[in-house]
Amino acid sequence: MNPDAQLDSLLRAARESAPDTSRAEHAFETRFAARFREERSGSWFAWAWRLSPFFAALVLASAVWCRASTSIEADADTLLDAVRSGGQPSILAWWAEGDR
Amino acid sequence: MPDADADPDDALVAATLDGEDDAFAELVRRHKRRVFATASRFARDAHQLEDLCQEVFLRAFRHLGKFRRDAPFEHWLARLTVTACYDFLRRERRHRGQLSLDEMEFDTRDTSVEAALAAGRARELVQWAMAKLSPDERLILTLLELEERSVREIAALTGWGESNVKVRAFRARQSLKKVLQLNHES
Repeated sequence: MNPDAQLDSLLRAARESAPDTSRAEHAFETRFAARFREERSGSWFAWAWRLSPFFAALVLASAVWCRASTSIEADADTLLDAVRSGGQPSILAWWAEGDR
Repeated sequence: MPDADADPDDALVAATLDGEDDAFAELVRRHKRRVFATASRFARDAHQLEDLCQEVFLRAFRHLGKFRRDAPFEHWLARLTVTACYDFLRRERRHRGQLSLDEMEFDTRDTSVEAALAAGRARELVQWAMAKLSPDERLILTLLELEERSVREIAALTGWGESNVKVRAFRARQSLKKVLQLNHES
């Protein structure tokens, strides 16, 4: 028998003996539902974990901003200086203390 | 009045998108047989088959919002199944976890002569030989020769052009023949 005919007969036989999946299919929905729930609950933690660097950066930036805005008060001699330095508390302080 | 011709899958998809998990469970129940039939051609054991089928339905759930109702849900799911199987084959190729299959030897003469009787053995031999092919070759031969899908269907499932599918199928067949000949000679 030539190789092409041999291959055809082999593939035909393989095709006719399709794997029986009935046992594997049994209660698949239940097992899938369990994994589905697991994935869903896991995804919250995954998102929280992925976002953690962002939150850390946000906290750091807030801390730096707070520190910078309080430290410029002493240097603000004029209203223009206070506005330039950008800190609202320093502007209020300048107005409260008056022109020195 | 509900449309009698409406595809029940469309209603289930809509309900799933509205947050009804039971509707998706029903979709799984309706389509699992077809997904299992395709996936079983690629998985080596029951554990892999289970994982692969779960992966298909998880992908279906994640991408359900992208399902356009211009084609039946079954076609969309078939495409997802083929993509998941292709990804699985590529992962397998990387891990090269085929030692148990590589250790097996077959006599092609016996298989071809007694193909009708020893069909189970024919499947083993084809599985062994296909494990030596590239993921592309294995995918296309499985869809064309084992699942008996048309070139047009395969083109739609894989996203490859029809002429591309024909060329790939021809090359894959040549590769399979070579593997079997080498096995026969050794």
